[in-house]
Amino acid sequence: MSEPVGRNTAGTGGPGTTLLGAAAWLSLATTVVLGWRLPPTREQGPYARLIAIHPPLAWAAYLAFGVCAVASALWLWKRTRAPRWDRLAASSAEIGVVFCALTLVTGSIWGRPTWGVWWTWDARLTSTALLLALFLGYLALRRVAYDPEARARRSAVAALIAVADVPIVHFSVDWWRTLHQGRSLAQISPQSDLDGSYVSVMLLGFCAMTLVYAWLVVHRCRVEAMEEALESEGLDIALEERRAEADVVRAGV
Amino acid sequence: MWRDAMLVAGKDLRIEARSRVATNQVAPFAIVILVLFGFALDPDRGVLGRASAGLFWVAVLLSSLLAVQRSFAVEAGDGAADGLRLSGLDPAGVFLGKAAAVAAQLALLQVVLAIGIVVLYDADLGGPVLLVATCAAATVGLAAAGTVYGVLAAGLKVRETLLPLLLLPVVAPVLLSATRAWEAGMGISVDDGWRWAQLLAVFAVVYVTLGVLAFGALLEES
Amino acid sequence: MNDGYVLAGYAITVGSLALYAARVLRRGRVLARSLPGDVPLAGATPTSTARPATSPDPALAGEE
Repeated sequence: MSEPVGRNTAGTGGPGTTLLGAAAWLSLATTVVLGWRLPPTREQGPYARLIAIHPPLAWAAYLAFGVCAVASALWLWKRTRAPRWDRLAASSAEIGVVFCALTLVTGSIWGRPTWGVWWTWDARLTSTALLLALFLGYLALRRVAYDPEARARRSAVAALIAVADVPIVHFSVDWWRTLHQGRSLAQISPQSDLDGSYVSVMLLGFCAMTLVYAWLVVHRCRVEAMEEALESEGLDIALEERRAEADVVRAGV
Repeated sequence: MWRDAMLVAGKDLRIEARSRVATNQVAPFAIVILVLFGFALDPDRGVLGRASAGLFWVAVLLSSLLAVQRSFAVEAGDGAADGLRLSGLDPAGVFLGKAAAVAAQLALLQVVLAIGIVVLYDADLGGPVLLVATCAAATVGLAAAGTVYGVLAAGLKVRETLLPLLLLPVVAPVLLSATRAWEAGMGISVDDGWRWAQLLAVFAVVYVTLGVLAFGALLEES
Repeated sequence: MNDGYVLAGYAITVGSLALYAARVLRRGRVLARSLPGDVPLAGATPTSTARPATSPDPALAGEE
């Protein structure tokens, strides 16, 4: 399964990732610039411009966590088990946490001037906050389980259990908030009276975030592969030293 | 599988009966939580009464952490965990047994807490059918989720701090749903309590199933 | 002040993503320098010393 690709002392880059990265950052920059120049809406004045990044960030987070779940399942299923799925799960989860946190931050920033508060217990934001908590737990679990095989196994199960919770969280929070809340962040979402230009910038944002995610996950996976290689190097060296010690002791006795 | 489950459940409950950790430590802890809420919230303005359903379930959730920790701590000493693994018991049975033991303890705790909120918060436990149904579904779900995460965190040195971080977000919907159902049953709100009870039942089914599936894989190496 | 919030939102987003990316890339460069042999790309299994996938030597496990 190993593909010798020759010496690369530069890092995790390569022609493919350079191209992907260029596309990602370019589209992100375009999104931001275009978003900035959108005209103010009737409803929310200038703040609806955050639509260029807030829903795309949320989408990227869900994408990342979804990939983590699929990769975890692939690792757990004996027929497709391979270290690369564990690495993908870990990498995707970490990136997902970044996107998820940003979703909450931008949602909060959007809410502050619009509704006057930093947090509105809006159904979507609350579900997203819980999702963040679920995957922070996943990352914490990965950090303390040392043996790679055990860690992969526990994390994979944890990821799948967490993801199984997502629809239940969604429904419970949604039912809870629709009873009480009049307007919510959900109603800001694009179908309604938003200008066509808003929708197109938002769609560009979705593409941009997807590309950014893809680029990040490739690099992160490679870093993860190298971390594991380094770990096993260290382990082998330590094993050798122990054996050498044992030999010395045996020879001395 | 069911026979193994009964065996494990019986063992856990017998250990509990002998050591009485649940009765001597977890139940008092639960009552202390109720009292602390009384300190934190103003008892004279009806806040406690209105919030009693939520406070009840928060206390249940926090106590369940202790119950789950305990459930796995009993295996930690003297290589009991290895004994369990090598005994040839069906892993799914082990899961069901441990979860059942935790559920039994939680059920008892809920009785104690219910008395607690009636006494301390002047709560009115009307609509008992809904309340009990909610408790049943929530308990099964909590015990199942707790047991799965318990074994995920088992054997790790930071188990005590990791388990709450892992478990509480997952069971947040249980807290949400159970509180709404109880508020409906107690007449505090006009929501449809049974739809919340149904969601609790879904949670329970999902997590019992996941537990049965996952336990084999996890017990192998934990 | 109107623009402040939107600007903050954009800046935090782009800034955080860039910072995270920089962290990942830097880690990649550091690791590539310290690893002997071929650096695995595309998620391939590293070609360094083969290692059994089971638990390490119990003498080392010591911890638990």
